[in-house]
Amino acid sequence: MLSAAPALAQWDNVTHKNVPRKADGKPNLSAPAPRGPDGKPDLAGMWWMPNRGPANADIPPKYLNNIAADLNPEEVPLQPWAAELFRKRGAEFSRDFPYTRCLPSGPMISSFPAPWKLIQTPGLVVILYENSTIYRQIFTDGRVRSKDADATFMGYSVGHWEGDTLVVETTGYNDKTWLDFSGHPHTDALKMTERFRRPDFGHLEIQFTFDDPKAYTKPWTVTIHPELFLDGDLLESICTENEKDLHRVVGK
Amino acid sequence: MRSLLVICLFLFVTAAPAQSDFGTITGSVSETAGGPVAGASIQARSVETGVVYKANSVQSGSYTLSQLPPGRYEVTATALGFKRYERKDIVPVQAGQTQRADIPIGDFISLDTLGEDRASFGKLFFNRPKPPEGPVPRTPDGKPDFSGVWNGSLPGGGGGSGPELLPWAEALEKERADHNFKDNPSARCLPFAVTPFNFFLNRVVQSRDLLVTIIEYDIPGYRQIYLDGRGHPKDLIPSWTGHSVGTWEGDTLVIDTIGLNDKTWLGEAAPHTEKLRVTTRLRRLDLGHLEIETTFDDPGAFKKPWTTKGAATLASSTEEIPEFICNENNQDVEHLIGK
Repeated sequence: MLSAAPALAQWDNVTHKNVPRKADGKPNLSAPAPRGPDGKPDLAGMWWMPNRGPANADIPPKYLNNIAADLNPEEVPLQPWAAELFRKRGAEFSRDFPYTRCLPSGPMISSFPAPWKLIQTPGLVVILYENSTIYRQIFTDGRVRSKDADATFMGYSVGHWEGDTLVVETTGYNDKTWLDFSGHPHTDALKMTERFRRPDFGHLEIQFTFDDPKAYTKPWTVTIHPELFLDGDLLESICTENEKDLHRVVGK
Repeated sequence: MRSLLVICLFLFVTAAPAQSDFGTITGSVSETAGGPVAGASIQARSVETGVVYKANSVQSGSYTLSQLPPGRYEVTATALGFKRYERKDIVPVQAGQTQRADIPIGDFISLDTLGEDRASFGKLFFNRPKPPEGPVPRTPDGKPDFSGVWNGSLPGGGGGSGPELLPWAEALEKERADHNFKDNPSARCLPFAVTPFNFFLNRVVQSRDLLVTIIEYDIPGYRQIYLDGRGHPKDLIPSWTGHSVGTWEGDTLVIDTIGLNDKTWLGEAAPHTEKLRVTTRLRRLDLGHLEIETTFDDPGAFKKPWTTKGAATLASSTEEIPEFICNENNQDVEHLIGK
């Protein structure tokens, strides 16, 4: 349920145009990142966090399991109540992980191993996700979230460029999602900043800053490195269909 | 002289020959709670000839079937969200006369949320703001640009209430209606539409190789229509939303969708098979208007292809697609009753 191996035969009709190639015809992932007509980096493409764990290992991929995997535990500045909640979720084997009930992933969606597609247009960046077939809209036209907007699972995202970095700020989250499978909490006070960079053709870098004064004593930052996904297109993934895992989820 | 002229005019007006050979059935469609039902499809079938005459009810709930040959008629009516209405007694029609046949269409099937104002639901469709005026926007390579936030067209708009079904499918549709539509997959937060547009809000994001629709009120929240010249995959695994490719015919975008599984219900409860092919023709008439013609072709379930036309209007500039997480707090499921 937590991993998604692409069914490659499904996509025999997909060819990627505009992919720089090496002499042997393979994609040149180290080629320079493309730019749009406005001179800004073009982040468009399909991206994913490949699961490089052992095949058939029954563990979630690294950042999906623990978004703070690259940090020492003391570098995650949890408030005392949040530390206790994090401990409890672990002791319960993440029984109440919202994604198990087919609820959206919230801030942590980029760490899922399933691919996602970023579409960049003037004024709007759209990201389509394979897992839960959910989407995000990132408004780059200068608008801000309306003050009386409802809190949502995926928050409200606005973005602007700082040089070659797309800075996306998301607020308006509800408190119903977790930052990762192991249960790092967040509240509706969370402001998540993502700094997107495309160092070369085949690589993306997203630096997350979690600023949630209700759950953490100060902001903290992690960085993940999605890779270009050239093996096909988004699969339809309807979580609520034939959902058989729920009754087997054990926990205290 | 003047009185002669007046008499001539009077004779001329009353002796309009075509009108008096036919009769009219008119009435009002209303629901048990008393409110009018707009957009109902009323049919009068002649007992003598079997010919079916159709009309739709307007916003006030009233309808008129005119130009009816005199005779006896069976009157039935369907409206989205209501059980099918069949009038018990025959309606007689006489030449030059109007027969009244009101249609009390019954209880709204859908599960009302406490406090929901059902009249406002209808207003959503009938009171949309006038869209802005202007020419069709174009992409850098000269194609019409469909991008924008659109108020979708009415369900099944313009084509009647659904396809003509083969006997097995008609029987299944009737069974679904008799069960109060309780097994509709969308009640369990499974996908609803086989077309890229919904009748609520849609955002279209068009780039050179891809058209994406972001749909309010459906799962998944987005559809992809590939514009990069790819065809359909050979080994397509049927899915809820299928596989859509778009090609241009002049300024019309023709979207071809196949690879649908057979689990969605069309219109209200019509079955379809995996053979279903949906062709959507999109035209942007001007800045504020989108014309959407959709043909559903399923030789496994339909007697013939069914075409429905609709029009979408550009939403106001502050309109945004809200998040729709169907299975959060889905309280309806346990209330679904039926045989």
